[in-house]
Amino acid sequence: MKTILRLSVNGKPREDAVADNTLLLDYLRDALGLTGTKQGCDGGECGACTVLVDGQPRLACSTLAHSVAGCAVETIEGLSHEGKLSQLQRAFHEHLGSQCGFCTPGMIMAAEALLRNKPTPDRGEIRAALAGNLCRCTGYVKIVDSVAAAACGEPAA
Amino acid sequence: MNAPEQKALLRSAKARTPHGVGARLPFVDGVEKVIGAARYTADLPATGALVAKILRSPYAHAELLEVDVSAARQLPGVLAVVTGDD
Repeated sequence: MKTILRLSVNGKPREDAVADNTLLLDYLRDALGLTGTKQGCDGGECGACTVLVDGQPRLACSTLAHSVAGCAVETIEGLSHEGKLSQLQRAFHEHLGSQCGFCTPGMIMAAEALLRNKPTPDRGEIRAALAGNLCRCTGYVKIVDSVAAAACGEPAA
Repeated sequence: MNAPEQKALLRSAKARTPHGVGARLPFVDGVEKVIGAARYTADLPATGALVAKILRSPYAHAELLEVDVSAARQLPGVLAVVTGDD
């Protein structure tokens, strides 16, 4: 059965008729067209679908859309503003933190949550925060480098 | 993100690109990847896509003499029935 879901997505309030069993991932991708959030394993193991719910990282593939009613949901599409990359996005771009790029949105959202809670994490803390995000290209060193560069506020190259 | 915004991002990335052997070169599609705009197969719209169904013989190693597709062709919404004859 469809019921009305009210929440905010990337800062904009929304009101949509959504089936009770719809996953947050399918709501974002299929109803809103926000395909930056990826469906990787679809079982909560890979982190590709990581989004922020009230600032905390959540796996959209394992979250019912209606369970985040009233919450503020943020996706990768919400991080860049007015044609400018966020510091974290720029760091991933310039430090080659993405290879095939499929895990990148989830990596960036997980790292974003970390940096909001702890602006200057050490490499161990970065690795721990990204432990739930798999990169099948296995480019982990550059991913950690990217987050570390963003954390130390490195200016644009 | 709208198209002009995306173009502005691409332009600003290009402007920072140094040249020469040994230069650090960002991926040409790096910006799309970090803003979630890179399109993978599952991200392509499936609107209007047709659905195909395969009918297999219930008999293993049998000789196929004839397929009567007339009833299948008459089903509402069926656009095509394709057999070995096609």
